[in-house]
Amino acid sequence: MQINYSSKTLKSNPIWYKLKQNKMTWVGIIILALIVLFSVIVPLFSPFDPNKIDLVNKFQPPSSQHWFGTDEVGRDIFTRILYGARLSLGVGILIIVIAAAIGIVIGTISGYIGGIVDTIIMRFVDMILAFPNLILAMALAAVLGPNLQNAMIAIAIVKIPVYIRLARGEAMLLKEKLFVKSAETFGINKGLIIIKHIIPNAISPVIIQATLDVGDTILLIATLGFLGLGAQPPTPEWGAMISIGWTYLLTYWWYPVFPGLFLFLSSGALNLIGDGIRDVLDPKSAR
Amino acid sequence: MVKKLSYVLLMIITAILLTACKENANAPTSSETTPDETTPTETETTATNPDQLVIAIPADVTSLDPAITMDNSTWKIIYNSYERLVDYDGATTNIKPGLAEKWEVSEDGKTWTFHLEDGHVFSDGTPVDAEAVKASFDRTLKIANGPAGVYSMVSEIRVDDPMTVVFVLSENFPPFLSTLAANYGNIVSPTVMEHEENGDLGQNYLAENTLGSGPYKLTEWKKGDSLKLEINEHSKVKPTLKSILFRIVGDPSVQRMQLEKGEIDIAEGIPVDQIDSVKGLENVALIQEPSLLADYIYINTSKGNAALQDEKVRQALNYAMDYESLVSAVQLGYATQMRGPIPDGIWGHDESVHQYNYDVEKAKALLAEAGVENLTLELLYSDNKTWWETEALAIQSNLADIGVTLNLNKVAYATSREMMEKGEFDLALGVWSPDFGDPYAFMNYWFDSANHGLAGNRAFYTNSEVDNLLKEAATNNDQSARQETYKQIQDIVMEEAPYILLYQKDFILPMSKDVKGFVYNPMLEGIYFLSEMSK
Amino acid sequence: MIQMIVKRLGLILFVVFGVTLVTFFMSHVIPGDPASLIAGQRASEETLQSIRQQLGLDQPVWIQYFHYLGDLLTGDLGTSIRTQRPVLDELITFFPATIELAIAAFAIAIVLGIPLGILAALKKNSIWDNLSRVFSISGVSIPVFFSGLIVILIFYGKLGWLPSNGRIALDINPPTHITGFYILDSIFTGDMVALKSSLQHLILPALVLSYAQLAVITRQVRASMLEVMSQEYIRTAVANGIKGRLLIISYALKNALIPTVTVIGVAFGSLLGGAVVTETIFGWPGMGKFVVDSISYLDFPAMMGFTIIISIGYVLINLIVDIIYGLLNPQMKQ
Repeated sequence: MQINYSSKTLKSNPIWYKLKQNKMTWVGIIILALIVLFSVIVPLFSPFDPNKIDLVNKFQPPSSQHWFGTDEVGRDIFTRILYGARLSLGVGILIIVIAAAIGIVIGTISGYIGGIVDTIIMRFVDMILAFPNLILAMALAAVLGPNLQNAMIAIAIVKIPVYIRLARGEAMLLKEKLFVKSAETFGINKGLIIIKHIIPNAISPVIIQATLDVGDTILLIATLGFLGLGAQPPTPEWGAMISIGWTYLLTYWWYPVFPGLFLFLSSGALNLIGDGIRDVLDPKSAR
Repeated sequence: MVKKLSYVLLMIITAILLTACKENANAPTSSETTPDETTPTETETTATNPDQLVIAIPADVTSLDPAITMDNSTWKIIYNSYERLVDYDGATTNIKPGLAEKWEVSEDGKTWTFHLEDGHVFSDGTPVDAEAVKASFDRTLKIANGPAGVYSMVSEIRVDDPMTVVFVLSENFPPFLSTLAANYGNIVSPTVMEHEENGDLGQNYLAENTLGSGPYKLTEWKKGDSLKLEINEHSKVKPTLKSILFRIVGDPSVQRMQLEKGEIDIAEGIPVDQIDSVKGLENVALIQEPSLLADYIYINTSKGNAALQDEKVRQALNYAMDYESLVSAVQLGYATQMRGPIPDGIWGHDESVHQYNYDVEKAKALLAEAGVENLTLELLYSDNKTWWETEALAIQSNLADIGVTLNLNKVAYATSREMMEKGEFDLALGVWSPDFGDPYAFMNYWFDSANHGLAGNRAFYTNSEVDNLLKEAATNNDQSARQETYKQIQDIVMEEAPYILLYQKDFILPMSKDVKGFVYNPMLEGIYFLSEMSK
Repeated sequence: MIQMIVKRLGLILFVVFGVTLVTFFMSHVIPGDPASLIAGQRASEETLQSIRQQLGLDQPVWIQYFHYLGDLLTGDLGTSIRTQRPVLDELITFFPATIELAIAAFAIAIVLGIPLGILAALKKNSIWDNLSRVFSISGVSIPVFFSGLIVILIFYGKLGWLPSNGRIALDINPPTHITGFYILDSIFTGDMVALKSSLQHLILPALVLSYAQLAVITRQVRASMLEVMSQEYIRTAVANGIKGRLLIISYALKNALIPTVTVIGVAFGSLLGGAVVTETIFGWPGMGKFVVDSISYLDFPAMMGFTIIISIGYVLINLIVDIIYGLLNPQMKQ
């Protein structure tokens, strides 16, 4: 990656133009926007509380009142799914922001300073990368104890190394650049160089990776929830809902199917958007 | 290039294969059961075979060693491979002869003498005699696992003559006879010691094999897939069914489909809230029997929220429960509200004991009387029981109605056990089923302050008067006097309310209509008397 | 290349050490007494104590850890708390099932993924390209546990074409144990009945598991194909009159596959992870199911053993992939 990503290119027009050309990306943006819009608006107007149980009305099939039916304790599934959307999207983005932020700081330090620090950090990165993603997240979540917060920590730990590697790679290229070299000759301290010169210039590939990762993260949270290692009830988390709902698949199909559909739609939308952004920002990907 | 690619693929596969083979070769003790015959047996659908019973179970089982396992789902696999000194009679809690044709107990209740019946033989041909019985119990005690805990009052086992064995107890323990009829009373052949590895008393062997005198023996265990029992030719009992297959099917929906298609005869893994979906199936009968499984809430009376130390608050919580809705929502009506701590079906159960009812006003009044406001409690539970999720939500909403905020704390099963042992909770969900048909199995474990923690009294309830009465009831051999004492205790504990007694569950089992001879014994929940069954 | 191999093998040691260290000490952060699960519903303090002693749980953590490491050096992964059997024995029992599933899924992903990728690249921006894009985006967006349920419902529940559970029909004896892979074993022994049944059982879980990786591979092949085709020498080749299919296969594909190989290594790791979930849904008796069952028991020896085996396997697979990469790509040879 010899291309110098400056923050200016992010804002310039050709990109906007390229993005406009990409129809699939727009499909993704529209789906995501609809889900976000609904998850903001519907809870404001919905007559149902996502956690309030109503045993008389359990397992109601989809109807004009309960669009997606009700679950085993009579909660409105549509309402719960949209509260779940806030949670899944929010948590997914939060995890990636945290992982990317930590990754970029550690990565640039590692790449810029080099030497023993770099070696130690990279050994740890190699260690974490030596696991399949899901297995490590599962193991960590299991060891930390099953709840949403621990699942988030587990997923963040799994995701950080990728960002460290990316940022380190960029930092190693940047440190040979003239403007960094000249900053050094002026005796500016290393911390300041990293903050002022390295991080801003290394951030672009990290952003590409991050947009691609959000969809995957939402799936990971749901999978941990499905395995009983993520969000705990009555939290309306999609994976946890499917986990309980799937046992009812034959009798009350709407219970697992609708959360599954939303999970698929939002993760799909995020992947489309991520794909589009990568195509635009990363000239190496041939779209 | 395509050639090159397939070459690459082949390389990867061979490499993986090699590692796989190597690992297998390194482990001579590989637990894979290699079938004796490799010729495939061609039959149509398994379950239609009248000689074979197929039972779907939701998860694989663990160690099969009777001296180790305390797990009901394992007991049902091995129960029919062993015999016991005595057995439960049919569907009752009465005791009938087993390996012992008759027995006597001394005046003080401390010496039990058993006379063995001739002609019982273990599956490896070794005859069952007094030495074998002694060796089996000595082994259990030496292994000092869960089952040994049940026999902690046994101080000596003696062989008086080849067919007479004597148990000497350190204290009078009236339910002793019933413990011998349970799974931990299984008699293991002394030849198990031939399979000993590193001084493990054959634990490793018995974990995957059976070695008893029962009508069946385990012939195959495909880990994670199925277990197969076949007839033990040495046994005195001659059963009808030639083989029993326990098939592991984790998904309840799949179990339902298999039952409908006749691929399985019995589906154990269908949760009660989906029972209705099975009810409509033409070929399926639903077994429904009252069980002795009690479902309730522990109120932590000494280590939890300080407000819970007030009897009035505990009573208020008892009045806050909508018992009827709970039974219908959580168990779909397949349960009955409890009346007193001793469930219906065990002597000592008393219809005159006070029963709390759903009364929100009274509950609020009691809270006000106790001067408690804005109470926030935490409910501890785990994934151990599938219905706890719904139950916890229902309780949460019931308590909200009297102004008590309930936070749900769902943790891993092992964690919940540890937290109960240490008393780190306000309220906790619990289930209890008796190991013997005696009120002792509920009363003494639940209310004796000596049993604080996992031993049974997880409400950390202490009342010295109750302690004394419990001791009196436990060491008396006169049943009617004991019944009177237990009544007295029940009145006290219902008033002081360290528990919220919810309901006594029904036993529900979807079973193909072809299956005959199923007998449900509440003391042996879920255990089949396979030799009496047929198709 | 030798240097790389040595370095990677060193990494395995480091990984194993790290895994055990982290798991062991983190495991004591959360409360949980495995002894109480073994002891039965009511357990006296003496019984608990005796079980803890047998499992070595009564000793300080660091001593327990020391023992564990010592055993590990002799190839002993400890005893499972839940099943009370040696962890290594348990894992070996389940190992072939997981690997068979993963390899089958892997094969599907490659066999379908590469042609699909080529198709999408050749017909860039056509309806085929867009379809392939939708297809692969769905692949990475649909969770395995959800697609698994749906295919069971359709192919078992509604159509009744394929079985839903296990590796082989109950009334059919598995083939004689040679490799532990039912498909291979039944081919080796010529046991056609077992082969048919194992294939029927394998197809649904393998398809479901392969979907996500199939998507990744399709995208990768498409991207590298496009990149290679835009390069100078391809244009030269076109100018020299070599045309159509021949051109694509002999020039473009060869070079396009090089980056694909690296993706494949990662894909196999993800397959192992996905296998855990797939196994729970299809009742596939593999390591994944075993470890999920171990989690609620806080069976740390079992969980650690599993993680160690998987991570070693993963590092080895990636090593093999890198060696192949080196062989394929002449630039890597130094």
